[in-house]
Amino acid sequence: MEDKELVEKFKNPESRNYVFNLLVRKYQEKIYWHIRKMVIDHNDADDLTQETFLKVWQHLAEFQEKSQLYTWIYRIATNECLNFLRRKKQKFFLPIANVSKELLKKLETDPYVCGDEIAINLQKAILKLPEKQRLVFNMRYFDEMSYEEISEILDTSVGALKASYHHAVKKIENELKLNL
Amino acid sequence: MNSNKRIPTPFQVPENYFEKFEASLQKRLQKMHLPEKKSLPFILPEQYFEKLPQRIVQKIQRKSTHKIWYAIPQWQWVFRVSSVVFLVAITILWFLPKQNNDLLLQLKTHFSKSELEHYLVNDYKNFLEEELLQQAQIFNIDIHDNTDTLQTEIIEKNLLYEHLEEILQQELPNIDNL
Repeated sequence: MEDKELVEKFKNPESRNYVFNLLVRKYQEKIYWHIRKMVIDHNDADDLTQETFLKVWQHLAEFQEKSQLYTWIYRIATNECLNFLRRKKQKFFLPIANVSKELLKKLETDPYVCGDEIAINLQKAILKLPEKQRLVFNMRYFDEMSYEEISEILDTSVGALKASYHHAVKKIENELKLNL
Repeated sequence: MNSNKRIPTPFQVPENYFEKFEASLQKRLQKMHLPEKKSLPFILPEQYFEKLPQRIVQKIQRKSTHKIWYAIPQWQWVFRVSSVVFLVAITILWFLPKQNNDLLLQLKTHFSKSELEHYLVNDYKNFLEEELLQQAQIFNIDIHDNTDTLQTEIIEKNLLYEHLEEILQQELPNIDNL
């Protein structure tokens, strides 16, 4: 079912549950992996994915189709991630660097992390980037989104995104060189 | 360059170094760029995505049973606030007269009836005298040269009955209350 049709049918109370189930099945994996790359821990990612779809359920009836449905859902998920990381900083009075350290630690201790050395090293390098740069890099490199789509999600100009991605790639390459 | 003629040096290389050189260089070059294979080091619990929609629906049902305060319609808020205001007003009204009754009861217990009467009559008598003297001044009666009994007689003769009534009426409600 197309996104437009999903939104239309969701507004009908009789088909709401069925349509919502279809919508979750359609986007759950993309959203989960988008969140997981930001928070690393599986349980946190699971919780935030559920929160994201809960918000979708609460507000989909008011969705005005000014943007595409999947960019809207990505936007909710992104906000959930950023709020989660902000809460973490506030809770433990941590600066950004220490949150990154905690996430790096999770990369080594989480039982749901496998032993692919190249992939782990890449994740370690990504974790050293600022949050917004991490988001841009993940969406461009892993999800292969266009700059226009990322621009819609992050509400940032395409030019700024290109510069951000370029800087992120340079930093990651330097980091990987150091780890050799 | 003649490769057959080698100048002897004191340096040595590990065994098969030059045979392995190309492979190790390739390995290093691969690591210098972003990996071509975009894999993630994360794994998932078994059947995670099969069970996730069900868990999300359960979470929504749980949340909908606890109504969020801002989701409650405005008319319900108006009804609730007005009920609270009504109850508070009733409580205040209930306690206010009771406080006065308590005061009266305290007076009754701490003072005997005769003491209260004595106090009120004396106080009222003083007040009446002051009033009568004021009235005398209004009617230009000279009372300074006369004795006390004479003063009272003169005042009473000159004071009109209506004025006396008026003064008494002003004070009588207070006496009734007590």
